[in-house]
Amino acid sequence: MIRFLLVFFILLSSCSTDKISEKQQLASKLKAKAAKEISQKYGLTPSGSGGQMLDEIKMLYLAFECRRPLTLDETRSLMVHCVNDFLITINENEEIRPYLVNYPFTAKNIEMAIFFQDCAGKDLGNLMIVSIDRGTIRYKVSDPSDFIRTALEESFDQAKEICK
Amino acid sequence: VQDVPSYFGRDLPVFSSENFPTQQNWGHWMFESQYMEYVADSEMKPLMPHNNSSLTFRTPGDYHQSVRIGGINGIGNSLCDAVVNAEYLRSFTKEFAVEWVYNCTHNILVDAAEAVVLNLSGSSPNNEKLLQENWLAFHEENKNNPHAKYLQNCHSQGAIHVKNALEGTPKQVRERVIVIAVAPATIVPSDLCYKSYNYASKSDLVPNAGIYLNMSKNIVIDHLKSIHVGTNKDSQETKNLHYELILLDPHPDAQGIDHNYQSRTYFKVLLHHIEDYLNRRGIYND
Repeated sequence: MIRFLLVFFILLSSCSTDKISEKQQLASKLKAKAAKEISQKYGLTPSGSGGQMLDEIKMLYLAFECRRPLTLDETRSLMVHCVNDFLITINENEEIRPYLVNYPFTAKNIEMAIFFQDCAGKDLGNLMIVSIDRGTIRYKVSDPSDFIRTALEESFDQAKEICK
Repeated sequence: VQDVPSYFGRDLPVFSSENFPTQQNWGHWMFESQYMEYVADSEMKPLMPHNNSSLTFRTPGDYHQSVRIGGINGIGNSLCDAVVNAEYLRSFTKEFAVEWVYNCTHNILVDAAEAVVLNLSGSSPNNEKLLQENWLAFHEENKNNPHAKYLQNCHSQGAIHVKNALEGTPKQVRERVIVIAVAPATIVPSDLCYKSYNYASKSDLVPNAGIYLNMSKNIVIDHLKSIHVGTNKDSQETKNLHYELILLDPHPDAQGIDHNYQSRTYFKVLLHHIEDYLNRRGIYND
């Protein structure tokens, strides 16, 4: 068995290794930290991650699942708080700062999606997804003819004002 | 929007559930040829081997210059399985066609060995070329439209092929590609393409196995290096990338290890990203 493993690893070690850029490492670590904090604070389930960083870090993305029905006001407030917390985590980190396209990072540099469904996988009311992209929050509802449609759009700043 | 019979200047075969392709590999052909000798019925000659390597096809659907949605399957998929998955993806795209790279299966064990030994080490000979051809064709068509992007979906081993293909692609072409990786056998890093999104289910063994295998491989290599150089930094780099993969809770209807491309776990994910892409008509100015 040990011989087999040795041969296996020697074979693998003859191949090239992954080289992960420092930028990618820092961003991954930061997203994981933010996802953990946000999920614990607001009772969400982390569900995906991503980003835009071919050159500088232009955008960081997190996705969550929400397992309880929320009103429009509650949804707006949840999104505003999640984005603010994500931004604080990013902007507080000094290591990642040289890689950010702009500092401080703003809501326009964040993408986030919250998918609404209960533990049985059923939709929670009409609201399916709330997302933010380029500083615009979109509330997406189910649509019998087209799967999904955007019912309401507002800027992050507008949403923040309403939540005050 | 128009239907272009000669798809974007390339003659890709059009497959659908109403036009399932036939497939014959060399092994079956040899077996059937032997058997047919005894049957000695000229009318029952086995089909010659065909469609037995990776290839690109498209689904029926409309064409728009700046909108292109592609996909690639993982291991153990027959050509018919790939067609079914391409049609599933097409169900999200409204009227638009999907172009799909069929990542040919040999058998599931050979595929798995190929993924571990060859693909995870950075080599995807045929599939890499097919993916690059698709991206390059889109890039050429949109030379006057620098903000047009290609939405590349990938599943399981397909994510390794996408990552390898991106690594061997010029930057101006990579800038065209947005990756949605579902149940990926490796993470597609965001610094390789315009944007990337990675999703996996907690009950899916494949993404975890792929990442830990890569991690352990690098740890062994780093250990060997450290004997000579005295440093063991890289294995930590690989560990850090594992943070990129945030795991979804499996959908209650999801079966087994929840590795299926059409699992309900990923339904809203695909819906969200494809709807956004179509609303922008493939144009991303940011």
